[in-house]
Amino acid sequence: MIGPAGSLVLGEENHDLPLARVTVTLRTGATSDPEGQEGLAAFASELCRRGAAGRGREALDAAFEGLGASFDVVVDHDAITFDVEGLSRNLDQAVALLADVLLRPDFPVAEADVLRRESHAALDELRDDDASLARRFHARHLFPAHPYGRPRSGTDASIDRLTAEGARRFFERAFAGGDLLFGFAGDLAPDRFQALLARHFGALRSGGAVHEVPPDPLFPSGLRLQIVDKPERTQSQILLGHPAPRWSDPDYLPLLVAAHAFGGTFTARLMTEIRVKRGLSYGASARMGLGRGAKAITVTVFPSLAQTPETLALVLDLWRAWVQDGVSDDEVAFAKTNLASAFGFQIATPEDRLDLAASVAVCGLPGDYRERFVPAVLAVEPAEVRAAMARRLHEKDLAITIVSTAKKLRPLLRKLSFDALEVTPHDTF
Amino acid sequence: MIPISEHPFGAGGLCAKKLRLESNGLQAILVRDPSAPLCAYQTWLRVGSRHERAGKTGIAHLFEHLMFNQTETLAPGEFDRRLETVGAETNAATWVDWTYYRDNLPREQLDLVMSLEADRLAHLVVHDPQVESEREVVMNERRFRVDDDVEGFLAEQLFRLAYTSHPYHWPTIGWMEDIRAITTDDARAFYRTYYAPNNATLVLVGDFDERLAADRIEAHYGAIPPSVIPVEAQVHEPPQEGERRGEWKKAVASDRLLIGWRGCGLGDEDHAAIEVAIELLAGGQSSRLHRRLVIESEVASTVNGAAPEFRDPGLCELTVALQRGRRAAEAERMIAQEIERLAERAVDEAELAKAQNRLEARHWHGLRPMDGKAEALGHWETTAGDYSRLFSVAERVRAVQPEEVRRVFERYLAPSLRTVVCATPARRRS
Repeated sequence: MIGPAGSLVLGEENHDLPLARVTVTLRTGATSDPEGQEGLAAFASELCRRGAAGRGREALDAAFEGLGASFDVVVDHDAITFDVEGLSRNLDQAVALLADVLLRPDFPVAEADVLRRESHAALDELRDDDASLARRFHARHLFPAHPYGRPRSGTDASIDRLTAEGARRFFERAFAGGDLLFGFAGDLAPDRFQALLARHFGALRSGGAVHEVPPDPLFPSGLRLQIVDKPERTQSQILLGHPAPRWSDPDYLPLLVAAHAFGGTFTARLMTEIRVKRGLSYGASARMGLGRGAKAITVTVFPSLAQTPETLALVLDLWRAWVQDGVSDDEVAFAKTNLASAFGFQIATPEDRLDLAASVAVCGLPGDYRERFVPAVLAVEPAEVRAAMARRLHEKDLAITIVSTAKKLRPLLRKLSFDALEVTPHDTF
Repeated sequence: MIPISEHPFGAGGLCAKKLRLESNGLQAILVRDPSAPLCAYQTWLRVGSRHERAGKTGIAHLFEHLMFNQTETLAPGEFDRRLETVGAETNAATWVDWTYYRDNLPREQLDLVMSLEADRLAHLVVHDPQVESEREVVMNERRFRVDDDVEGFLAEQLFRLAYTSHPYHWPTIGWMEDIRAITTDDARAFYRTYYAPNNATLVLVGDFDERLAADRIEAHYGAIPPSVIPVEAQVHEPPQEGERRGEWKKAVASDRLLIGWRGCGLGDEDHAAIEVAIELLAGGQSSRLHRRLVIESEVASTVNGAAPEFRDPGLCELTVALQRGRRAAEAERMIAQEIERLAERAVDEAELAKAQNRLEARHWHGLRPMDGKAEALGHWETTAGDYSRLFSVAERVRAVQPEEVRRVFERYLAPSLRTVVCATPARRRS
C-alpha cells in the first residue's frame, strides 16, 4: 500500500485483543552519522520527542502515557523506528501525537543540553553491563573505519559535539515520504489506518528515496585480540567475528545454513562441545548478521575467567575444524530443517509479521521474502554450503574481543598466540 | 479428562478450558488460538526455590538443567535433538514459587512434544557426570547473572537482607557454595518428591483440536503415578521493624540503588492497588520519580519500579542508576518525599487513569504471543492458585480508587519498612 508523500504502508490486522501498534520506520540509521558525530541519528530521533508543536517534553510524555500508550524510538545502523503501542480505543489520539512529534518537532536547545548529559549517563550504564560492553567494542574491532563499526549511541567525545541545530538539519534532510514505512499491527482495520495517516500525516514532505547500501567493510587479516580491561571480573565475555557476505550474495544462504549448524541451536557443535560436554559456558552460539550491507558471523561464549584460555583455545579449534572441514550432509540437513520449521516463530504474531515486513523493506530484500525464505533454505545443497565456506571463510582471520580483567587474564593466555593484541580500558570508548 | 472450568477472553473468541486427569490429578489448561500454525506447550510445576532448605539452595534450578538430559529411553542430548529437528524451541525457567518448561512448536508436532515431556516427567535418569557438567554450567550462569552483574548482585543482597526466615531470603540460582555441594542423590530425591503429575499443570495454547489434544494428554500422561507431595511448612516472616541497609564498592561508573518494601501476595486483594502505586511512582517517563529524579534534578539516568508477583508477600522494588558524581542518598531523599506526598494525599483522577491505562495496555501486550498467553495462565494458576484471575486483571486495576492507592503508600511503603542496597564506584571519576 502507498501512504502519504510516497511512503509505504504495511499492515497486520488482528482483533483478538484490544491492543494496536503503529510504527514509523525511517530507512536511514546510524550509518549516516558523519565521522566525529557518532550518535547523531539517535540524538536527533530522541530530541524530536522532547518538544513538538509547542508542547514540552513532560507534556508530550504525559499525553502519550495518559492514553496508555508507550512510545519508543529504536535506532540501529540501517533504520530508525518510532513505535507507538497502546489501547486501540485511544489510537486516534496517539497517532495525532506521533504526527506532532515527527512533523512538528521543535528541537529545543535546552533539551539538547539535557539530552547530551543523559547520553553520557546512558554510556555509563552500558559500561556496567559486560555483554553490552563487549558488543560495543567488538563492532569497532570487527569493522574498523566502517559505519557498522561506529557506536549508534556515540562516544563521550562525539556526544559533546551534537547540537539541537545539527539534529534539526539531520531530521529535515532524512524525514521524507520516500524514506518512510508506516506500519500497523493488531486491533486496527487498514482503511481506518489509511484515514488516520491522511488526516495526520498529510503535511509529510515527499522525496528522499535513496537508501544507500554501505560499502563492504575492509576486514584486517590475522587473529586480532582486543582485551577490554574491566576490574573485578570473575568471568570473560568473548566475541569472535568474521566477515559475512551481503544477503544478496549467492553465498549468503549457504553460509547461513553453515553458521546455524555450527552454533545456531542447542545441539549444534558449539553448544555440544562447550556447554554440554564441558560445562565451560552457560551460552555458546554462532549467528550471521542480516542488514542492508554485509555484516558478520559472530561467535559468543562467556566462561569463568580461570577457564577463559581453555575455552578460547577450544573455540578456536572448533572454528578451524569447521572452516577447514566444512559441515557434514547430516548437519546441513538438520540446520535446513530447523531453520525452515522455526521460521514460523518469526511470523507468529501480527507484531512479528510487521517487524519482518519492515526489515525486508529496510534491508532491500525481495518483497516476497516471507514466502520465499523456507523453500530457498530447503533448496540449499550440502555441496553449496561447503563451497561457500571454502570461498568465504578464512580460519586465521578473526577479530576477538574479550571483556575481562586484563591483569589476571593476560598471564593465563600466554600459551595462545595472536597476530595482534591490544588492551583497552573499558571506560575509554 | 474431566472438564473443570472455562473462561472466554478477548474479542476474538478465545476461551481457556481447564481439565483434570482422573487417574493422577494432572491438570491442563487449553486455549485454542488458530492465529498461526503453531502451539505453545508448557509444563508448570508447583516447586521452586521456596521448597529448598538452607545448605541446599539452588537445587530447584540445577534440577531444571538436568531435565534436558537423559531418560530411560532417550540418550543424553536426544530430547533437544528431536525437538530441534522438527523446528521446535525449548527452554525452562525456575523462580521462587514455580518451575516451568516451555516448548514452542509447529502444530503438527504436538504429539511428539507431549510424548517427550511425559517421558521426562516420569523417566528421567540422573547420573554423576550430568550433575557435574550442569553444576559447572550453573556456576557460570551465576557468574553471568549475579557475580559480574551489578543489578543481579544487588537484587540478591536485597532479598537476603529483607527476609530473615522465609525462603525468599536465598536466591533461586543458589549460593555458590551450595551449588558446589549438591549431590546426585540430592537431585534424585528432589525429582522423586516434586516431579509428579499431581504437582503439575500443562498449559497448551495454539492451533490444535481440543478433543484430540485432551485425548492425547490422557494417553501420554494417564499411566504416570501420582506422588505424595510434602505439605509445605508455612514460614511466617516476622514484620520488619526498622530500615535495613547494605552498601558495596563495585566496578560501576556511578551509584546504583535498589530499594525494596515487602508488599502482598499475587492473590491478595491489595495487589492491584500496589501495581497502580508502583506505576504512579516509576512507570514511564511521566511518572513521579522519572520526572523528579531524571528530568527535573538530573540526579539519575534511569529509574524503574516493579510490583511483586509472588505467592507470599514479595518485594515492591525501585531501581535507580545515578548520574555520574551524584550520590544515592540524594535519590533516596527524593523518593522518600514523593512517597510521603502520595501517602498524605490521594492522587487525582487523571494521574490514576494514566497509570491504569498503562497497566491495562501492558497486560494485553503480554497476552499477544501464544507463549505469552500460556505463561500468564501457568503463572496465575501456579502462583495464585486460579488461572481465571488473569482475565480480570484489567478490571481489577481499573477499579482501584485513589484512596486505596494512598493507603498502599501508607501501609506498605513507609521508610521504616524499606531495605536499601547500594553499589558505589570503587574508583570515582569526575
